[in-house]
Amino acid sequence: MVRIFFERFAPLLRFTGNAIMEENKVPSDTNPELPEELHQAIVNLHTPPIPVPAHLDRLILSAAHVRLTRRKRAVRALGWGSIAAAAVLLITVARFSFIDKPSTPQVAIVGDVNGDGRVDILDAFVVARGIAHHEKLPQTWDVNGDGVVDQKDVDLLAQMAVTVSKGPKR
Amino acid sequence: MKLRRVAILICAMVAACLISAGPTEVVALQSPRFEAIGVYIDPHGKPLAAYQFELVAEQGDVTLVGIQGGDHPAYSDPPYYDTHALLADRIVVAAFNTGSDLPANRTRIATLMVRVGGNIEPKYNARLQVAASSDAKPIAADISVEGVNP
Repeated sequence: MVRIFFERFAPLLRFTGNAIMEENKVPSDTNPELPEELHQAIVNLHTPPIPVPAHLDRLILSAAHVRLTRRKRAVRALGWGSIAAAAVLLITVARFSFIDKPSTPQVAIVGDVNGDGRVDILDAFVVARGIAHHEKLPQTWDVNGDGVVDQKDVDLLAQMAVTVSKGPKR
Repeated sequence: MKLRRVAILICAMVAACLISAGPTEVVALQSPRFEAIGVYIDPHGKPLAAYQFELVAEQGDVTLVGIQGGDHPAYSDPPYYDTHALLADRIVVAAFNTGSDLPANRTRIATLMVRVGGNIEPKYNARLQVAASSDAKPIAADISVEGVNP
């Protein structure tokens, strides 16, 4: 189809080309082949003019290899550094959160029998359960300080648990 | 005779004034009433050996006048509470039972008697502070408040 197109329109194109050449006063060339010099110049344009020696190639390759290896090492070192930093941070947090806790002076809350940090009905319940089961109860559970751990301590603990802090009535 | 006419005229004027005024608006001030509030705990199948909750009256003129026990035999006795809280708008109530017959499903664990004044409908907010099993370990439980017939 392309050939048909060119066969049909070749005379027209030739005529147009001649007309333009005439107009621009360019001498027409009847030879459709490229001049030899131009052809050679185009060929030389895509041919490396200087051949690269093999040892230079090797040098370039080795230099590139060294550079890439260095970068790879840097990336790897950065990864290990991040892991090490995270580990140090974790150890520090753990140290301050857990290890140092027992060494800090703890204030004993009066009535906190089960040691959960507050006085609530569970403290009274623990003492009452110990009394009901006839267990040997620690003297620290003697909240009212009368020398014995009994129902009075249970009642006192329960009252402490439900005591509402005084505030203004709405 | 003249005096009688004047008297009739005055009476007619007064009657006309009373008729034209129409029915008088009466502002009904609601007298204080007493209500019973049931507090329910659902321990979701685990025996409830101890509980502690805080009840706050968020709106309304509410005065706590008394506390009774709940439905289950383990909590039928009045629970522990601060008697000073009867005059406040919040109260902490707690109880425990060291026995083995304990409620494991939703049950009324306390009944609060309150005096409500004014026209604002009271609104309560109960917060469960402690719910524990027989081994004194905390258990998951829900608390709710409902009006009950005393």
